[in-house]
Amino acid sequence: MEVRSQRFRFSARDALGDPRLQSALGNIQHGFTERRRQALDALPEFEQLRAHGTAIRDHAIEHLDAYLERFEQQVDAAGGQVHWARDAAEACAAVAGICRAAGARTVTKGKSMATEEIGLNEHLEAEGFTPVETDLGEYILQLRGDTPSHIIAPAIHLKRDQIFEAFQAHHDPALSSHSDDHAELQAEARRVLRRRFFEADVGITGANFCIAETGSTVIVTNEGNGDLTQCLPRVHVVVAGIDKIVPTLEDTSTLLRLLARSATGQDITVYTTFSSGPRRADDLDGPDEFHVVLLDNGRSGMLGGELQPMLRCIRCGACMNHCPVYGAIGGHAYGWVYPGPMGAVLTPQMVGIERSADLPNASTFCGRCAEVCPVGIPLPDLMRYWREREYEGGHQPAAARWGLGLWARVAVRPRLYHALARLGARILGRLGHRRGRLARLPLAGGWTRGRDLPAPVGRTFTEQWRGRAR
Amino acid sequence: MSARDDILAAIRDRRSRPAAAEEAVAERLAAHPRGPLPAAVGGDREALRARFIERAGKASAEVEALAAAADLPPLAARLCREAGYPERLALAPDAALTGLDWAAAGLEAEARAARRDDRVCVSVARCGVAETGTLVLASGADSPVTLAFVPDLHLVLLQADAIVGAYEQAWDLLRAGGSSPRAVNWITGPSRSADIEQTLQLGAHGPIRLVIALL
Repeated sequence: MEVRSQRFRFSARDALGDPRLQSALGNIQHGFTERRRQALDALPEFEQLRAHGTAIRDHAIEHLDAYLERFEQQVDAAGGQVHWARDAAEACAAVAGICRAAGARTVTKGKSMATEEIGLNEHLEAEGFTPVETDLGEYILQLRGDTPSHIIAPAIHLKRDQIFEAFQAHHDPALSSHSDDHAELQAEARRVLRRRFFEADVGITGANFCIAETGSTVIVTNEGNGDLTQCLPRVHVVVAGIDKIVPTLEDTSTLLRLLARSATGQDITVYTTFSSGPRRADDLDGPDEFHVVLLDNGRSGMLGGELQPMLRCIRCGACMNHCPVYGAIGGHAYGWVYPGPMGAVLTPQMVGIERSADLPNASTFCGRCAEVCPVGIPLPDLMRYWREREYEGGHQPAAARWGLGLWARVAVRPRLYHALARLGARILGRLGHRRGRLARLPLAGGWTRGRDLPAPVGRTFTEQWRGRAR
Repeated sequence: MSARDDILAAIRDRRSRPAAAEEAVAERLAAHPRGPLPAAVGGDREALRARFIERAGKASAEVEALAAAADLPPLAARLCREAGYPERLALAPDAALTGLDWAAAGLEAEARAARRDDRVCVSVARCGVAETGTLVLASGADSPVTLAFVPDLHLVLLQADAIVGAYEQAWDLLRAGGSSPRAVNWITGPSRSADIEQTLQLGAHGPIRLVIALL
C-alpha cells in the first residue's frame, strides 16, 4: 500500500470537512466504546486479566526466539511448513510461490492486517492470481478499490448508499437484492461470495495468535468467512507477524477474554478457530497443505528499546475507538495501514519517521488510548519517543522548530516567561471576554479553523496558585 | 544467511534475555499454568447448565432441551419444515448421530462432510463452556469441520454433563482425551457482521441459525 502519511495535514483537513465521513464516524462512539464499557462492567476481573495478559505478552516477547523455534517445530510435527520473511517482499514472494506450486487461480482471503501491511493483493494480482477478500467489509473495499480505515471495522467510513452502488456496479444482476437495506446487502454478498469459497484453490488468513505449545494458529471472526477460507481450499496459508507468538493454550484463553471485549464489546467473537497442520489421514475435510509465513518487517527492531511494549499489541482497535483525533478524522487520513494511536507508533517504525512525522504529533496526549489498552501499552510515551526522533532527525517543519526554539529560550528565564504569560492571558482574556472563546487567532489560523480556543479568565495558573497558597 | 537465521539473530542481538531463559520457556510450555479465572464460571452442574443456556441465548443461539437422543431427529425434521428447507441433512459420522433413526422422522441423512447445497448440518460438540455459552468442536474422522460453516442452519448435539465452566477446563478435557485435533472450533452463536454502518445482522457467511440440542 502506498504511504500517504506525509499528506496527513491535508488529509485530516479534508476529513473534517467531509460531512458523509463525519456521519459515518459518529457510529464509533455509540457502538464500540459504549459496548466495551458494558462488557467490562460485566466482568469484575477485567483489571486482573489485563495485568496477567500484559505479563503473558511481555514474557513471550522476552523469549521470542525460543517460542518461535518451538512454534516452528510444532508446525512441522503437525505436517505444516513455516516460511520466514524479513520484509514485505519476502513474505509476498513466499505466498506467491505457494500459490504457484498449488496451480492456483482463485485465492480467497480472510481479514488480515498483516497482508495489508505487505500489500499482498497487488502482488498476487501482478502474478496472475485472483485474490478475493471475503470479510464483508474488506470485500466491499476491494470492489471499490478502497483501503481499510479501521483495523477491525475496515469499511466504517462508508455509508450504505456507497455499498449499494459498489454492489450494483460489480454483481451479477441475477444475484442482486436490488435493495440498499442492511440485511439485503449482506445477503447479497453472502450469495455472491459462496461460489468464490468453493472455487478457491488457496485460502489465506492472518492469525490473531500463534501458539508455541501446539503449533496452532488462531483466528477470531464473527462472519465465518475466515473458516470457509481455510477449511474448503486445498491449501491454507497463514500470514502472521512474529509478535503474534503466545506460549500456551491457557495464555491464549486469557488474551481471548481481553480481545473481543476491548474490540467490539462482545464477550467473545462468534468463531475462534485453532488450526494445527493440514488434514489428517482419516479427516473428511480440511486443507491438504498448511503453511505459516512468519513476518518480521521491522518488528525485531522494536526489541530491546523504548518501543518494545508496542510488541504486546493484540490489534483490538480500542485505542482508535477511544481516540478523539481518530474519531474526528477517521483512519484514512493516517495514510497507511495502521491508523489511530497504535498506527502513530507502528507506521514510523515500518515506513520511516521521515515519511510519517505528523502521525505521532496527531495526539493531544489525553491518554485515553493507554487507559483502554488491554495490554497496557503506554501509547503516549511511545508517540513522544517518535516526536523526539522527529526533532533529532530535523523532520519538523521550519516554523515548528523555530517556534519551539523561541519557546525554549523564554522558558529558561522564569521572570520573562511569567511576564509574557501574564500579558498573553490578559490580552486573550479581554479579547474573548464576551463569548468566553476565541474563534480566530493571529498566526494560528490552521488551529482555529477546526475549533475555538477557550478564552483565559485573565490570570495565569501561577498567579492563581500563588493566590490560593496565601 | 537465511531469513530464518537472520530474524532469530536479530532478536537475540537486541533482546536483553533474562537469566535461565531456556528453563523458563520449557517450564511454561510443560506446566501451561492458568491465569485468573472469572469467578462467575464456578458452580455445580445445574448452575453451569443455566449459565450456558443464558450465555448462548445472549449470543443469539437457540437452545432446545432434549429428554433423549432419540428426540434429535424429530427436532431436526421440525426445524427443516418450519424453515422450508428440503428434508435432507449432512451428519457428522459420529456414532451418537449415525445410530439414530432419521428416516423415521422423514429425513434423508448422510454422514459426510458438508457440500455446497447443504442447508442443514448436524455436529456433536466435544463440550460446552458456560463462561460465554460457547460450543467446543474438535475435528476428526467423526467430526468434519465444514458442517459448522457451510449450512444455513447448524444443529449441534451437546451433552449437558459436558458443560464446563471456563475455557481452560475445555483444554483439560481435550488433553485428557489424548487427542490433538487438526482444528478446534469455538462457536458462540450464529454468524454475523456489523460491517455495514455498524448495524449488526445475523447470517454473514456462516450459519444464519445455530440450534443447540441439549441432552
